[in-house]
Amino acid sequence: MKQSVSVLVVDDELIVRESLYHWFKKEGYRADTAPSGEAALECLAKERFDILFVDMKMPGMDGLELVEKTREHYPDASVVIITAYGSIDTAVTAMKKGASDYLLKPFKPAQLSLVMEKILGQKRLDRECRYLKGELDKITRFDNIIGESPEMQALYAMITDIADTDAPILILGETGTGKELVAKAIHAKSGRKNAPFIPINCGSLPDTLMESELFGFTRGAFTGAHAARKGYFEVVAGGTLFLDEIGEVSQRMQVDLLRVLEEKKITKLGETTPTEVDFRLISATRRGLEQMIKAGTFRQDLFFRINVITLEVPPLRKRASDIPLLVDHFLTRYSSETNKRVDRVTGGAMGALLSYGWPGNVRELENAVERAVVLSRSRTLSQEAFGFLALGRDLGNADSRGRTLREMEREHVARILEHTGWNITRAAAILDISRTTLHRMIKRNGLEKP
Amino acid sequence: MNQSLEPALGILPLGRVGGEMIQAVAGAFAGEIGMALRVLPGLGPPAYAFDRHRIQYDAARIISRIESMDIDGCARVMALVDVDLFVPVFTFVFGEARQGGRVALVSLFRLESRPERAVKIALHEFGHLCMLDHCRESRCVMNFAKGLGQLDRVATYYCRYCLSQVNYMAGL
Repeated sequence: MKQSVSVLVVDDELIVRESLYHWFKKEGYRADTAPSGEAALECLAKERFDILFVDMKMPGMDGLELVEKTREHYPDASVVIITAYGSIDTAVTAMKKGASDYLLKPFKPAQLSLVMEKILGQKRLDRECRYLKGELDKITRFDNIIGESPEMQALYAMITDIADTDAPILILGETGTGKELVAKAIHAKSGRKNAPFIPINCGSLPDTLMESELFGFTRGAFTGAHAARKGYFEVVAGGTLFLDEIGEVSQRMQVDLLRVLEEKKITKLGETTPTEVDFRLISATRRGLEQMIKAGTFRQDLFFRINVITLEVPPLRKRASDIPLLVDHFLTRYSSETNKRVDRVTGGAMGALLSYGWPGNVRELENAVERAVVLSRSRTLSQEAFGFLALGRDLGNADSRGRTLREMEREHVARILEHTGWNITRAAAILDISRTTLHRMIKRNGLEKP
Repeated sequence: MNQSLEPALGILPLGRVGGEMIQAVAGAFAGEIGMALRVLPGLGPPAYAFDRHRIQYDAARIISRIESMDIDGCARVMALVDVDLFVPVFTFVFGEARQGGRVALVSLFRLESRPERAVKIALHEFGHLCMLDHCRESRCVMNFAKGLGQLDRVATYYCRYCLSQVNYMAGL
């Protein structure tokens, strides 16, 4: 257990550094030394230390300044001041500035043991307190959705308002915005919370498989149906069914779905008698269903059925103020999962993350932080750690030198359309132009939906 | 100093060290570890390590001096001294050894002429020469004793984990 505690001895006298280093090693702690305050800060930037033993008088940065800098940048590290007899006033000042304890040189080995026991006891209490706070946070925060921006506050209010109704909900939002988390939150706050929440990605299931998965089948209903199986409509039994990417459902399945939603009954494959089902439907899509209706690829009657209440999850670029909170959350998660101590992001890196467009939204941010943590060799992530995102080369910063206004317009409109999945309404809203103008621009620039 | 790793321990008295102390320490090593050992001819008190401000003797300087001496047939040396030892940050130490080093030091000064205490310090410091850390087993001789009271509570032997490490490192 002591091996997990790391100690940094900071003293300009080699003999003192060595004496303490060897004592800590014999006690089974991980130990390192630094000959000056500046060197200590370099060590702290590279590696995490739990406790620092700092000599008060050192050339260059003195112990007091090091205490201040440590408290400011590495508040989890405890600092013990080592001082000579006669400089107790300075030691007291250091305590006021946040040092945990002080030792007067020379001291008995037993005193050092006592100081270590005291600090480790305090750290254990801090750890327990943090854990309990985390548990409390899990209970009180909005079902794993992270964000404090006004956009998210409005979304939370909406979720609370609609959770207890039984009306079908359609969640709109770009890819990676967390539509499934919103669906889970609605389920968790509804009267159906003790029944299952079943998510189904309609885009990943072929039509035939989706039919058998949703409706179930009897034994011998088709080749390979060796045993009867209940479908999700039955299994969900009073819970919530979440159909993600509902825009991907085939037209034949749309008819079947519509019938179930209207009658609340299903007929299993191979059966003739209908079975009653009870569930709440939440659907989600990143595609423009209204456009699909116009194109004749999505049934309008089904759209009205599933779209009694619409929720829109804002893209990350519209709630950029949540990025620091999300980065912090993902750093904690991936530092813990990868067992690496990476817990900080430089101001430059955070500035770059805030200015990036995040076309993949929270999922892209999560992947970016995970990748940066995995590849990081220091506890602090710099802007270079996120170099793979091509920061500074996204929408707002495209190099415009030597290019015509028409070229820039074409590229910008194409990017926005791509981001919105060719949702004309949302693209027009982002560009702050009317839908008609957008249509005119699409035509003028010869843009085509992929 | 002989560089070969012979499984032998030399016991080196410095200054006025009584025969019963030497016998007790030698007997403990022969009994507890079963290693070949040799009592080396005694040397004078380590005046070169005296610190007139602290009125104590610098343990690190004594260890360095012995390490530089040519002592044949001993892979490791356990020096017994009758003076009070210190390392710079500590007020005093009962003994001193660097982990993985060749020379350990035992001070008899604060042990109130009790040979079993010297035996415990010697075994403890020898454990450090064999790369051992302090042991959490309260009775093991590798448990860190904060004072004489705690020193008296530890046994004059290693726990089985520490003993196996000592045997391995001592080539037994």
